[in-house]
Amino acid sequence: MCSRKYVPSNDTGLTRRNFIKTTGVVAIGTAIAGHIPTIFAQQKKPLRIGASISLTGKYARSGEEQHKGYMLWAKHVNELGHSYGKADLPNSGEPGLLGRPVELIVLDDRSDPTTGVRLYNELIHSRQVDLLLGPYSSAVTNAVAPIIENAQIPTPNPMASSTAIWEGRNLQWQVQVQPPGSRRLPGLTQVAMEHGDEKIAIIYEDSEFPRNAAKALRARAKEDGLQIVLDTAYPVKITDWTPIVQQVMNSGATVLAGGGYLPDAIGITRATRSLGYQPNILSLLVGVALPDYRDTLGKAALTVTGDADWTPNVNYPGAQKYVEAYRSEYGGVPEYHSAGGYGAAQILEEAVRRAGTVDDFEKIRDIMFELKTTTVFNLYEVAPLDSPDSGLQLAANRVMLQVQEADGKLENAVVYPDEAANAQWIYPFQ
Amino acid sequence: MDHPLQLLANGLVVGAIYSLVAVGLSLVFGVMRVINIAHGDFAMLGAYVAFFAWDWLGLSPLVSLLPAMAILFLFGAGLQRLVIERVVGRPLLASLMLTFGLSLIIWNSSQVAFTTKLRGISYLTEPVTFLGVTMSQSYIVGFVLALILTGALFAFLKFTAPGKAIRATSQNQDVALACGIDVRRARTLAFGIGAALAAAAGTLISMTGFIYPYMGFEYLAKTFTIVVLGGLGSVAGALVAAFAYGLLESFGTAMLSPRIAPALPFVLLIAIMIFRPSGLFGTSVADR
Repeated sequence: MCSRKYVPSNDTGLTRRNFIKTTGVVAIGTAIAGHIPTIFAQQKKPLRIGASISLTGKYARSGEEQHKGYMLWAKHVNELGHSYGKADLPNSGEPGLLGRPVELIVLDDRSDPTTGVRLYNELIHSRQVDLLLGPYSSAVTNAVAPIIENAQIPTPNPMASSTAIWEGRNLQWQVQVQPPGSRRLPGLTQVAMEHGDEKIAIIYEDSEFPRNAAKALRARAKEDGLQIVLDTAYPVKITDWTPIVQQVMNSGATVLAGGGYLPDAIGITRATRSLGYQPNILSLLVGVALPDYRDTLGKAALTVTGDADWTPNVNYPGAQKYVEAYRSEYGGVPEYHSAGGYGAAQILEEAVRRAGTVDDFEKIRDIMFELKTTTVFNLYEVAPLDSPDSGLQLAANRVMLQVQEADGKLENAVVYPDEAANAQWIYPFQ
Repeated sequence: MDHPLQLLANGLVVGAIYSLVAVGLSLVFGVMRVINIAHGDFAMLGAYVAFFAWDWLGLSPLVSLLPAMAILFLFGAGLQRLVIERVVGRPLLASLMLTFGLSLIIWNSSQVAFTTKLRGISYLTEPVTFLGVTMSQSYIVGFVLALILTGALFAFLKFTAPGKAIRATSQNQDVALACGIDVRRARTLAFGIGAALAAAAGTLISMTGFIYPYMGFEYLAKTFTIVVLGGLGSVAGALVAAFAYGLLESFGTAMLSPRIAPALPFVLLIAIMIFRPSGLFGTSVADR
């Protein structure tokens, strides 16, 4: 084995001292040069925000809209340095969130809570995202809540109206952005009582949000003196609502309320029309507010009522700009799921900007719980951290819509409450 | 029990639509011993053909039914020739994985092409009342069409040469081959017919319910239960089991509860598996 020994050569002028100096300079230079991209990258390192959304499966239609809301928010933050209506916040102006471009990492939970749990674990532990946004639906939100609590990452949830997720659970890291389920179908029981209706049937999909909404409806019906003649859940995997509506018909109810999501709203309306059932009020949870409902049913949708967390003509700061931006980005008029997605991301944006950091989760969390603000979506204020229902939405409101015909076109008129109404509630259901 | 006739009618109408999907699936299994997970997606594609014919061309679904069936027949036959034929005679798991993959490709592509938007055809929505039974015209038309198409399938299988070739292939492929029957052609034909019937079901669903890219999967679970209830490979069994399924749903909801009703067909399935494992009309392997 031969050993190699360094022999200085006078021909090159390279002495031991020169060699050490030269290599030392090169080494230091290389080290600095090597760090320049790192330092640069740290300044511009994307802020990775993770979420699972129902992009396929039963909730895909609504989930897709929520996803659009998230994407539009990220686009605005990256381009403008703030979302619409949030230009005056501290640390706004520089593109991105606190100078870091927002990168959304959205996975598809297939409308399945179990998959949602797996995906949030993946986002937190494998992909190690910087921040989180909530999934779509109460069912998935409820399932992933313990994962987020364990990870201790502040998370706003845009579309989880079930109050059971927050009530009495003292959640420390998650807030509800959507108006709570207890305020579903506003005005329903009052209008029914005013017109002398006595019997109500409540049918609902057997999953988290409809169960919770039905619970609140049941309480309000009893409070207002309506007799509940049928109160039943039906399974999630249902393709024909005729037998259930037949049961409602047999019960003698003059008010039919409930449902679940968009497929339920369409299915129940189809079955009601098919059986020739003529209640005085047909009022459904998610669905009536969405354009798909009217497009699919045509005139069969007329005079059906349902609630909405948001309408495109609201005047919350930035809302009209948001509507225009949605129109130019995706075409058409946005509905409340996309506005909810945008609004929830705005809560995270505001908390981070006010905190001035993305690393101090406790600081961001504390601000998120203390905020009293308005997004393009709705008002925002949640039960404080030290309360049993911490994170439960307190300020956001809903309106009641009714499918009405104007100039030969079907549209959603706001019929309740009176201060927000732009049309009279057509009674009875026709 | 209130309004038994109405419950009977509701069950029969739904059962008729289930039967269109189920007989095709059963036919395919009978001829090829292939469990086609993508079968429900054929119904979805047929539904979209009918919907776009209605939306773009203003064609009534009753008119677009035949083109939808023809398109899906060609699609199914082509798919069988190109892909499915390769797993015929292979272990069941091979066909299961292949058709599962095909299903994923079809419905994911459909979601990209058609978006997740829920759609439906508002056609003949006015209800009519007869003998105390009220039902929208679209349901009645759907019921009648489903019966006609199933009847036509039975006539085709019983009285025509290609139909007899399909039956012979289903009964014993080797003997059919020895008799000079082109079993490969019979398999392609059967697969195409199965796809066409699923397309017809999809068209009817677009009139009576709503359609979306992953709807096939929702119907597939029911259809499998029906096919197993009726006896794997038995077209007549699938028909009877489909009506039984619809009636159990209808009467079960009224007499027990909407939560319990969906479990009833599975209770029946367990009972059948215990007392008659080959299904209502199926034959055991030993009998073949």
